[in-house]
Amino acid sequence: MRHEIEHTPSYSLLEVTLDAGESVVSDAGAMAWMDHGIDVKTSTRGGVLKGLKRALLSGESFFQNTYTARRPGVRIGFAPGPAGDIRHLHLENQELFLQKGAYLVSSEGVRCDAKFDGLRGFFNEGLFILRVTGTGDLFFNSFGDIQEVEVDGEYVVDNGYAVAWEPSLSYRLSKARKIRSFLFSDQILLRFSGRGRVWVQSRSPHALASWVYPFRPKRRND
Amino acid sequence: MQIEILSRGAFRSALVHLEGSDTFISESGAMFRASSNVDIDVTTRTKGKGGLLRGVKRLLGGESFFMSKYRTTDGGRGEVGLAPTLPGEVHEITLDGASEWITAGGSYLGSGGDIEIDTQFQGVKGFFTGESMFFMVARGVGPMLVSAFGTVRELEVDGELTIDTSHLVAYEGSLQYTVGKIAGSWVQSFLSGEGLAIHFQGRGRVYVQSHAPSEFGRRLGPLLPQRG
Repeated sequence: MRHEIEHTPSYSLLEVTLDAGESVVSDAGAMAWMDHGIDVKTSTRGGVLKGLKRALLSGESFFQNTYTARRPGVRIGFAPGPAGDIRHLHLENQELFLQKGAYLVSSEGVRCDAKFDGLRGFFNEGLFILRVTGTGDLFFNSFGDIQEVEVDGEYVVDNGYAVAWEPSLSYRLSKARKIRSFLFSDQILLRFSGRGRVWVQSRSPHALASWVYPFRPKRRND
Repeated sequence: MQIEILSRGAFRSALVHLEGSDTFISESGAMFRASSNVDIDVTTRTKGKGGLLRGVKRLLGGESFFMSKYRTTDGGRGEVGLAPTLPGEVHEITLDGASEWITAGGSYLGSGGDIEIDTQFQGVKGFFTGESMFFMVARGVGPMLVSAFGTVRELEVDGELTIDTSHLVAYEGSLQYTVGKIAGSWVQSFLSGEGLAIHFQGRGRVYVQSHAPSEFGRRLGPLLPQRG
C-alpha cells in the first residue's frame, strides 16, 4: 500500500494506492472517492460486541469498511470530518491511544477498540478512549494542526487537545491552580509523564461550538 | 523570550519560549500545551494596578474576567503553546514603547509580561450593529500576539483608511480614528450591510482579517437549535 497525505495541514486528504488483493480499513464514512475495481465490505471487524463498544463508547462507527483491490494501482481518497491535519504512523506490533473520533484509516493488521479510561475520562471526552494495536499503517486526524511533542519527564496538554499518545506515557488530570480553579472553573489539564510521544491538536471543536453558542436564536415564548 | 509561530496553514498557533524570569500573559483558556515547569497563574491584572476593575471591564467587553499568567517555576527554559478558537493566522507584533497598540476584543491572544493591557469601551455607537466595540489597549515594550479569522493583511496608513469594524484585528496608537457609517446616510449604511466603519487618519499600521467572525456566527447561529 502506498499513501500520500495531501493539502496538509489545513485540508488534509489521504490518498492510498492498493495493489491487487491488498486491503485497507477505514472508519465508516471516511471514503470520499475511489477508483473502479475495489470491493467494499462493511463489517464490525472483531464481532458485534467490538463494534458496539466502538460505536457507543468511543464515538467511532459501529461498522468499519474494508476496501480490497481487484486490480493493481487502484486509488482511494479518504477525508476526515473536520478540516485539519492527518498523521501517519507505522506500527510494529505496537499500541497507541487515540482520542475519541481520531481514528481514520489503517491497514488490516491494525485493530481499533474502545478502552475504558477510568473515571478521569469523565472530565475528558467521555469515559472511553480508542486503543489501536497491531502491525501496519495507521492514519489519524484532528480538527486543526497536529503537533508532535517528545515527552521526557512531564508535559501538560489542555483537556481535549491530546489527539494520540504512546502507551509508555501515563497521564493524570490536574488543574492549573487548585483552589482558584475550583472557584473560577479554570482549565483542566492532562499531565503526561514518562517517555514517549504525544500528538497535540491546535484547535478544539468544543471551543468552536461554545463560540457559536451565543449566535443561536433565542426561543420565543409563544 | 522567543516566539515561534507554528504551522503554515489555516490553524496557526504560537509557541512561546520562556527563559529565566520571563512572564507571558494570555486570555484564560488560550493555552493548549505547556512544558511541565510552567506555572499557570490566574490573574485579573497584567502590569500595573487596578486589577479587579480591569477584570470587570474585560467581562463587559465579552472577554473573560481572568487572564492567565505563565512563568517557569525553576527559572529555566519552558514553553507555552497558545491558540485561538477560530481557524486562522496568529501574528506577533513587537511593541517598542513608542506607540501603544489597540486590538479588537476577540483578536487579542497574549502578550509579554512587561506589557500592560487595558480594556477600552468605544462608546454607544457599537450597540447599533451589535459589534463588539471593546478594544484592548497594549502599552509597554515586548511581544504581543494577535489572532485573525482567516488571513491577515497589514496595511500601512499614510493619510486615510476606512475599514469595517468587524474586520479589524489591531492598529497602531499613532493613528487617529472616528467610528461612523460607511455610506452617506445611516439608512444607506444599514442597507449596505457593511455595519460600522472605522476611519483612520494619520500614519501607522493596521492589521485587518480576511473574514469577520461575527458574520460567520450570524450564518451558523440560525442553523442551530434555539437557546432557552
